[in-house]
Amino acid sequence: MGGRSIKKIESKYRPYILLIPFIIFIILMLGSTSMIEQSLGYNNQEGISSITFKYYEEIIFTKVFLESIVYTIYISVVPTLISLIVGIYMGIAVHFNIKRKNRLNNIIQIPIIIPYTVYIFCIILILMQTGIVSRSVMNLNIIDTANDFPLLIYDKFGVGIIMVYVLKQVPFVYFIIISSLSNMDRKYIDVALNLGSSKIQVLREIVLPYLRNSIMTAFFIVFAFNFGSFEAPFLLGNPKYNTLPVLSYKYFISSDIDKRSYSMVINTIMIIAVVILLHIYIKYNERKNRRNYEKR
Amino acid sequence: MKKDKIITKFIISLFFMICILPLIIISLFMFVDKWVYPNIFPSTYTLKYLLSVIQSKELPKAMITSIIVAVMSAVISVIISYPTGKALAHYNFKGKHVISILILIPLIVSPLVLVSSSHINLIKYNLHSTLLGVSLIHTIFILPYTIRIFNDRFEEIGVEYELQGYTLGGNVISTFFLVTLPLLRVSVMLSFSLGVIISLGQYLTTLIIGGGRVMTISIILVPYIQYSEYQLASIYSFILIALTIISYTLIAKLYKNHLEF
Repeated sequence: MGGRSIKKIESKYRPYILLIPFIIFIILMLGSTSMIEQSLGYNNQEGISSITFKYYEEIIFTKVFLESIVYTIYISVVPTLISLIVGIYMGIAVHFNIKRKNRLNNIIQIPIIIPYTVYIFCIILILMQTGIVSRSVMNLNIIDTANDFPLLIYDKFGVGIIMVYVLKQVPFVYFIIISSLSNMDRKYIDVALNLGSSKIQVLREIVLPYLRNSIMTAFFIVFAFNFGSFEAPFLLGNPKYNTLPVLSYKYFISSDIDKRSYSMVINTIMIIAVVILLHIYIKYNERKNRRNYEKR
Repeated sequence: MKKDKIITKFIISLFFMICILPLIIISLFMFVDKWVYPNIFPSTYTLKYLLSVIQSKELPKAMITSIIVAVMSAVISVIISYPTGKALAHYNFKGKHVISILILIPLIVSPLVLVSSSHINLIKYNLHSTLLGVSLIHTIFILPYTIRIFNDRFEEIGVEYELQGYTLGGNVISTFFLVTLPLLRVSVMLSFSLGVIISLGQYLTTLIIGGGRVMTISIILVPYIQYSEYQLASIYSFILIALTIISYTLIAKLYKNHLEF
């Protein structure tokens, strides 16, 4: 356990004074029950003070909503898994093969800082039916006309969306893995190699178990992000297949005030889903820490 | 063994190429004039689009709006995350767990949910479709990162420096300006640049809170993407990338100094 232990000051009221700006900000910005109120059909301005679960019932059992849940899970799980696999592979490959990582890392940081909208635009230029990939394939005489090129953006499998997420998130996973590996003690690996284990064994028995915590964190953050992300599905998705945020947005900007309640119902459901996920994540961490403690 | 290494090196350089691919494509597309379908490279290039954007009134306005919003949200985030980071790093208190989860919320909850719940609050304070309102909503998404930066730095320097300041007869204000702030100079700048980068990338939040009045570069860029104005979209993308990369190089420089320090 590197790093020195930090001395903490015991003081009853000072930390709370320091937290005042943050708490005030959060209360001012997010402290409102209007979302839940609207989802329950409660509206003070219009004199409706009764609560109804009508909107929940009306939306939850519709085909649009159920399809949207399945599609959202698909759109968030698939790129998360791809990014994790590629990112972990790249992290391990670079860490053990490249000596001077600084310049390489500077370049790999670029996708993280470029905004999503720009990446979406690039994917459109690359993958559209008259895009760069299509032109290259055409010149290799694989297809005859632009129409033969499969629809990769605005398609129902969300290939474009997945590409955007993967391109943006592989570097993110890569940096989590790299920073975790740079704190790793090389002795374990040297000992294992010395005792005659193969590289695959080292990977499976030492490196991956060491990385498990970072991998879980990366999975959690990337999945939660993809689950709630709006821009990519909005700009690259098929209008027939909406993810939950896009569906919610469509109801939100609708001129029909009733529809806004649907949007709030979807938002509430998304919050519940994330809270459950967060709970699982925290419980997982606690259990693992306890197990490590018992082992010692 | 040798072959393995070569394959790994090849994959790494491929990865490297993919990372800089968007930059190349966008800088090429800014100048495309005619590009008949099956050709790999455009047949003619033009400066027409670039000139029209530079001469338009839209661009300077959008750039100024973007920069003002970005700077305001970065400043607000620094002001909020400084004490919060200190509280989390130097004190044990009841409810610490709750606060640290609260800080993570913007990272995991959908931006749409956060925006739609603060939308009504901002309307109440008359901040809807103003620069300050947009800056405040951006701040929500910056805070998780900046609080983390300050928290780490405060843990690094510990409480001893400040206690020393008090022991030598300084009061709260002089200790803050003479001891703590100089130690945290780099973190302040780091958080500031990170805030600018995150704020520049926000689209949905600016759209909903800005109400079409606060025209940042992202807000202008997205309709061009939607209506296939590829040259104009790539010019605005290029400007957005340029602004983020300027902030980023600032971070990289500071981080280097930080390590040396």
